Amino acid sequence: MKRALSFLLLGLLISIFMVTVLNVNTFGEHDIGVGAHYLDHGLQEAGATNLVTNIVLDYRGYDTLGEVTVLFTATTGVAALFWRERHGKK
Amino acid sequence: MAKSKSKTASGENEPSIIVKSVARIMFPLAFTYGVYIFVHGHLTPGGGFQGGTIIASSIILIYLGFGSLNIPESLTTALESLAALCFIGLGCIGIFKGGNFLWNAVGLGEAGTLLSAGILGPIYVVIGVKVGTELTAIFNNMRRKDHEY
Repeated sequence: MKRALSFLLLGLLISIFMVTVLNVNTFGEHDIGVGAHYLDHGLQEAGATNLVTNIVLDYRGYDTLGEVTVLFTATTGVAALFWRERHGKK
Repeated sequence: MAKSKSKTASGENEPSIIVKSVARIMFPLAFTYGVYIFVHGHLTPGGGFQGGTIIASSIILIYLGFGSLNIPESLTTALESLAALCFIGLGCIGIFKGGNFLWNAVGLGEAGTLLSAGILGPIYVVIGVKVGTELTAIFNNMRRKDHEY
């Protein structure tokens, strides 16, 4: 009884969520404007003909700075791993 | 790598003439191609990360062909740190001009020319140098002295 009730409740919740999600957008379309904005205004706002560069360096410059920092951390980690072998006492 | 372990002591594991010649011919081409990729990062597909990786692989090619690689650790460290500082400095231009960090404060120029897009081109050059030296440093750290022929 308890089990059947919990399944029923779960089904109800899932159907509510499904109906909500289906009502947000028609299937296969979206109304998020950011991609269209990059395509339409990227060249005027950032100035590079390579759109990926516009996004990576202009709109998301902080992300690229973080990426470079991640690579720097990886290099530091590798150097720390092999430090003893190359410089330590034999 | 595992194969060369047994033969390094006797010195029989010299790379063949084909590998040596290909490395000698391909190294300048690959290096120049990497530089081209990151200098034209704001015009053509590619950019700093891709160009830096091509540069690092051209240096690994030299190691494969000639067996020894004497890049001083101080050189890679200095270039890497200088590139990182240049990235921060280029970002600070926006602050000095009265805007945000990494704001594209310099004039955009004519789209499609090499000196367009303000600070984006210089930033990609700096990223290319940084990625190239960092991957070279990783490779330099990971290779073994007793595996050299």
